[in-house]
Amino acid sequence: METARLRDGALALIGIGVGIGALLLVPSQIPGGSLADISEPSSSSFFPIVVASALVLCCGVLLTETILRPDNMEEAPPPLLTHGYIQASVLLTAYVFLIAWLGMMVASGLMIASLSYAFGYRNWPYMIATAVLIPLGIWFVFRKLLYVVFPSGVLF
Amino acid sequence: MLDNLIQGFMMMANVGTLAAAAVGVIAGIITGAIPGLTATMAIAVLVPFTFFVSPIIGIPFLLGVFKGAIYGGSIPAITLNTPGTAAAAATTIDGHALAQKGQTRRALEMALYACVFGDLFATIILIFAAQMLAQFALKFSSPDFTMLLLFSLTMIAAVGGKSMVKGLIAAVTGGLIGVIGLDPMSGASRFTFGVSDMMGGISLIPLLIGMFALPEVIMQLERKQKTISPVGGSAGPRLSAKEFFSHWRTLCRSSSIGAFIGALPGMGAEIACWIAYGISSKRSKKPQEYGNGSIEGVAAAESAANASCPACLVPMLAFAIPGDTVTAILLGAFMAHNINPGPLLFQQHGELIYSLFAVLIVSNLMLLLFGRVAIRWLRNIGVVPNGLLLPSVIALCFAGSFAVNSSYFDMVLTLIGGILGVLMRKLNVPVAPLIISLLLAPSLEQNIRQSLAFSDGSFSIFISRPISAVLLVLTVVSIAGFAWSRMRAPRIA
Repeated sequence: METARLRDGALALIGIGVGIGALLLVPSQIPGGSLADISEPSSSSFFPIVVASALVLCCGVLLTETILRPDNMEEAPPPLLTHGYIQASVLLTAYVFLIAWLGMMVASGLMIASLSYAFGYRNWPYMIATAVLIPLGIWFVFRKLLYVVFPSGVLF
Repeated sequence: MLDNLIQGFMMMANVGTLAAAAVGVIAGIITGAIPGLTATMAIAVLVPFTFFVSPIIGIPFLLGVFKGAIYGGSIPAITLNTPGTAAAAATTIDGHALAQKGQTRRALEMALYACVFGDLFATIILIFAAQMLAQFALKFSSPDFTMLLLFSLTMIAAVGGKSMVKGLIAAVTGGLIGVIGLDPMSGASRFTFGVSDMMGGISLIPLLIGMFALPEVIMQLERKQKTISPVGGSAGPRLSAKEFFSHWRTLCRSSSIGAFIGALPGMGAEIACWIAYGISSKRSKKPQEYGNGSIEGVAAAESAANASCPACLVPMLAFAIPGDTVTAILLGAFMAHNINPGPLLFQQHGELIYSLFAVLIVSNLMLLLFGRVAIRWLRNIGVVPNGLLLPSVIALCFAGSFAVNSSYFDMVLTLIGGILGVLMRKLNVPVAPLIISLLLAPSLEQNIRQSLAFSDGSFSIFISRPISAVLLVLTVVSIAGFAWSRMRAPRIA
């Protein structure tokens, strides 16, 4: 059974991995950088090394705290990957992808309609009206008043 | 100082500035009154609009939104038992109880007047305290700023969530994200992976919109919450002036608490309202009414919450250190308008600062005016279906995040921020320390490197200077204190 303890442990390990990964990437991602630059404050890699090391340290403390924490203190954590979360993540990812292909206005209309449906809203006239009017309103405010040019797509 | 303040009033006495403040207050009240739309979200979504106007329009607009949203959250708190913003959580307890007794109007009016009182109280403190602190801050050098930043980040991490360690992890992660891009001192690229969009670093506003606005929508989708019906009518007994002023002790005490708490890094209206409410219930002559419809409880919570708003501007203006995410956004907006808060701000932009103080006072009066209208018309705003409202907000979020830099990459950042933001909330990792650390990372790096360059790499510079030594001790004591209290808490339970 998943517990908060397991999650915190996984979080700590992921954090340690990220910190160590950042340290290992210093020589390749920072010109002239190396781990020895921890003693060179003037170097570009000094601060990244300090921060990455601090991340490893903090996650190590969390891991230790998690291991030492008694089990009977646990309350059941909320589910992590719920249907709603996955649904929203997929819809929004598709929305961002569609912006590049269909353009901001069309993609926004489709997103509003699909997300409204996901919320369980079934009043189709209002849903369609919102999916049309909101993107138009955003276009008017940003394009005409603020002169922001949104990505356009194959349609509009 | 009085001359400067009068000049400030004259500087902001133009149609554009007044209109911007008014529109901001109205937008803030409406946004705060909608359950699920927080003050942070309101400002994060609306801040891109200010990049296209001058600072004398953009900054009053944002301040108006801030004030309006903190107050607006009390409307659904009282009518729907659902705080529109976290700062209105304490108001829910007695406010909704009063609404259930048919005293909705009385509760809403007390919330409004207490809000205006607390805000004005703290604004006066701000006017005096900010300049004094800025003059004190002129004595700070790089080691002192380094320790001040570390102390602030530690406080924000410690009080930002249930676990101090997780708060520190969030803060350090924010610092790590903050190094992506170009080294501010040498210009060398760091962790860009050859992606040109990352050369400029990770943009704060799009990530912030993603981490604060999107998770609210995603989590409401999880709950499939549609609408909630309000209780109480706009009729019912009204609050008299005599009754309002009979609670002057509670108002002054709670406003003082709110002003003090708001000025501390990591604290904010969300904490101030609960502390003031708790103290007020202990000091009250009618403690049995608390939790069952105490008008005094509403006064305490609202005055403290709104007093913390101007107060949190004190460290931001004097030290360029944001106390919470809202001031982090405001700080970002200031910098985008080429106004750099900090000790030199009063010297370089003194007239602008006093016009800012004048804006705070005038927008407070606007809040009083528009709040009375909101009491009548906005009590039903919570019944707008989430299925229409929230997707529309999402579209506005992505449009706003694109508008910051006209970059598609920023929309990808917003998306990533949203997905990660939900995970962080479920894992009880606070988001605020990450965002504030991301904002402060360049300054922290610059100050650390300058300090160590000055001392030839010796860390003793942080101990040899009295101000940095005191801040170092405070940081260590704070960490130890929080760790000790967290270790003891399970045993006491």
